[in-house]
Amino acid sequence: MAKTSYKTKAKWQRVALLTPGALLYGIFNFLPLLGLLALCLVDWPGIGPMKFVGLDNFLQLFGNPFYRDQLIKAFGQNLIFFAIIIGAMLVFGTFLALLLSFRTWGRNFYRSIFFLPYPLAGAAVAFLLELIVRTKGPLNVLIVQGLHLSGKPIGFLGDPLLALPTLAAFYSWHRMSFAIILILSAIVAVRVHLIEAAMLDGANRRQTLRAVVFPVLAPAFILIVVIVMVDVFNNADYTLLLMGPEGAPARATDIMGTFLFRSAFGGAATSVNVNFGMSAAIGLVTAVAILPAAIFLALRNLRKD
Amino acid sequence: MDKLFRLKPLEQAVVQLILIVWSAIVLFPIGIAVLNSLKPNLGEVYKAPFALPSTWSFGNYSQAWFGAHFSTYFLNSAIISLSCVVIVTVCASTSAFVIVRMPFRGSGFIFGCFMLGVVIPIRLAMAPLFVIVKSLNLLDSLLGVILVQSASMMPVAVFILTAFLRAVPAELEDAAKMDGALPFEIYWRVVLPLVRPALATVALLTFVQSWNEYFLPLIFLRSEQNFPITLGMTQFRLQFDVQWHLMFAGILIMLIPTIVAFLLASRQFIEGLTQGGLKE
Amino acid sequence: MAAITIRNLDKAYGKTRVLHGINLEIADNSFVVFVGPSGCGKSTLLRTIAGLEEKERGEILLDGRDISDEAPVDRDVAMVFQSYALYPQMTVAENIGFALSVAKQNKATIGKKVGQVAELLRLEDYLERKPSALSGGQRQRVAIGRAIVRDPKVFLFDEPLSNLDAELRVEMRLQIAQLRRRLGATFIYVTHDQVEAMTLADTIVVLRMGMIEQVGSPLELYHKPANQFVAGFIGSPKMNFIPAAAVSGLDLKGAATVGVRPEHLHIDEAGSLKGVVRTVEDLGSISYAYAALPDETLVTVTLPPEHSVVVDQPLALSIVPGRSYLFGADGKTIG
Repeated sequence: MAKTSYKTKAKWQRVALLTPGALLYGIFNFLPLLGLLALCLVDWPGIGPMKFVGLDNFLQLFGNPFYRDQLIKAFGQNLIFFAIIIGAMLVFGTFLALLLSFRTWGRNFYRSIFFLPYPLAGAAVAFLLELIVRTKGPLNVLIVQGLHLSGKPIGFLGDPLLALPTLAAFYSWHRMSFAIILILSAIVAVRVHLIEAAMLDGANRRQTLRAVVFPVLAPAFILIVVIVMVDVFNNADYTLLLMGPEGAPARATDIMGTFLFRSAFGGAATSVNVNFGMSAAIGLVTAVAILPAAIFLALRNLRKD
Repeated sequence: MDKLFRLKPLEQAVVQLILIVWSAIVLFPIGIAVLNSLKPNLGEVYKAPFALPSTWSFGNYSQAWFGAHFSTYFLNSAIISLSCVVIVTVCASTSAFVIVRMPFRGSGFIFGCFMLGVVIPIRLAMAPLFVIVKSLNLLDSLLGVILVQSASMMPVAVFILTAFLRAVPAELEDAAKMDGALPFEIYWRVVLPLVRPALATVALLTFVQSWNEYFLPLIFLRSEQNFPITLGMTQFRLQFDVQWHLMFAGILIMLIPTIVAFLLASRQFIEGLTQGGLKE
Repeated sequence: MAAITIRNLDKAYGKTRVLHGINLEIADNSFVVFVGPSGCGKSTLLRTIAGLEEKERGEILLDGRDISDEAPVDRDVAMVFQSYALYPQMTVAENIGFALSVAKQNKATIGKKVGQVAELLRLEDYLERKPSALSGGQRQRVAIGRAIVRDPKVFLFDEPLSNLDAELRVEMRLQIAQLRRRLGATFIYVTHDQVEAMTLADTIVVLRMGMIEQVGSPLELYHKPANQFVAGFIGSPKMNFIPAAAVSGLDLKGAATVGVRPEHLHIDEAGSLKGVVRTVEDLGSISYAYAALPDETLVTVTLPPEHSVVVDQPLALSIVPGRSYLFGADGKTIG
């Protein structure tokens, strides 16, 4: 009897070890992702009966001006938002990472300082930076009274033209160290073997940087682009926190995340056009839009194993 | 190789200047917050935001702590993030252990399902997620938010842990099997002690991320007594919007746990960052 | 008592067959060595006996009881791994006692048994150390101790010495031989090193491509190899294989290849084998010459310490009568 029991016990213990994690993830993450496929086919305000509408949500989204204009605006502004952030991250990130890779005095100290904003909560960063850039805030005091750059305070978040870039700046301030760290580790990884070879071949510093360092930065750049892209096309925390689900002023800061949120939970208390099916459809469309990047990321992860 | 990275004095000076400028950009908002959170009144914040406070008013912090149920929010955040840390480290490590070490027909598929969660953000599926949470009667409860947040962090945790578990030699497990150890014992006594660094990384990432999470509580919590600090800050702001010195104090209190966690384990944090990628 | 009988054992990984119809009798108290080139299935056979691999067909009997479906721990076998597989986070004492603590024995019993094993293996001074603080030989002894403490009927060794340097390997080889005399259990030992096999084994099992080529005592295999593969595998330096066409003065009985061991080739002015010396290796107690025959076949010749063989000079050789082997085109030994 005891002879067969080891194998039986082992089988049950395997089930017992796998089940909690699989259930937790399955119910609260995997199932909802699959549920997008079903929910996008109904019209349902969150309570009451669901109405099956087939592909009507998608037809509405791309055909009905009410939704289509929002979609175009949100998607376009999301692209601008992404472009500003990724530009800042790659330019400043590469520059700062290169400086830190030299034998700079206190480079570990600088690295710690640069990393400081990263673990901070998005909500805290949003409120903190919003206070800083208010018209009566410290930054405007500095600009107007300290540096005399402008005669009157600048309304960073109130101006429809400035609001979106300002939010992008917030994001970049918060996440810059992510780019610095990834680029720095790519430089450090290449240093030992490749650079030595290049130096032996008699290349000078600029040639070495151009011929050896920059090519190996490409994978780090791609990784940063992909991860930031996936993030900014679903995460609209700064906008939700500071501008509300309507993306004030006048939807000048509306991006996919806010549009998606609004479609399910409404922009204002008086919203009427609430439809979970539409929200699922927008989620699905966004997922498809970022899918190439997402698949790239998955392949990279699997290859690394 | 050293020649390339050594700097001449003039270069050194230029590099230092640039690094100091970026440090100033990073530290400016945080420094302003610290400085002004200690000022006795709003007037001083407006008039001279860069000056030292006339009297150091540490009382602002207690005023913030007791304003707008701040302590309740803080406690809720602590409950949520510590529960998430326990749930995610346990569930992710057991699942990853079975997937890597006891593969069976279908374990590759399960791993694939987890990887789907790494690449498609759960926010995009908030509508179906809401339906599920609602049908389980978990709306507006801490338990519901804990489960949802834990689940959202499972994929990355499983990914990090499977990578580490693959590096544990298979002969160790064979030896344990010969010694008669059952899966629980192999997991607990042989394998888990060997992946402690990865476990620490996962715990830290989970803590910081769940403490900082704003969106999921926003969707699933309604009553203020359940709010974590990220939602609570919004309430706090409604009350103290014009009292900047108290706003600064509140924001800083909110940041303390993550900064402490970061100081305690900045290395694991940076490692986790390069392994798991940015996700929030 | 611990006699093992293996009947018609088959095993495959997916579509690749790794064990084909293995039939083998292992006597009680014997020391059996599985040898063969890498990928021949010797480790798989050992792991199947251990229970770490599932068989596909066939049976493994231990004293008449079929153990092939049992869990490893229930089989009365213990194993020493190539990498030692010591638990890095546990001390030496905890490593040796792990099996006992898993079996829920009480602390006093565990302590006593661990003490006995440590004494046997001269590990008393290292019991509180972690494996990382031990030398290769000490780790090896801990790995053996972990097997001994379970008091198994059969000990399985999977290339246990391959991670040690040459000197230590000789020393551990002697210790294992000694241990075996003390323990009086059945030992099954896997190696790709034929010297280890020759020195340790009562019985050698030569495997190739998942099949048994020959079973016999070391000297049987040395003197009466069943085929060209075994002849080439057993003995150091390797047996010379000369195309039959290049050999004269022998009754070839239709053989395709003639095999001669280097020690059975003598320098002989009148010898029928003529070649040119390409390399000479002087090892002090013995020397080897490598000579190329007219058809470019390279043969190894054992020379006495005082010899006058010079590189690039011609060399005539004769085969010691009765010390040649004839192999058919299929590799089988003819005579």
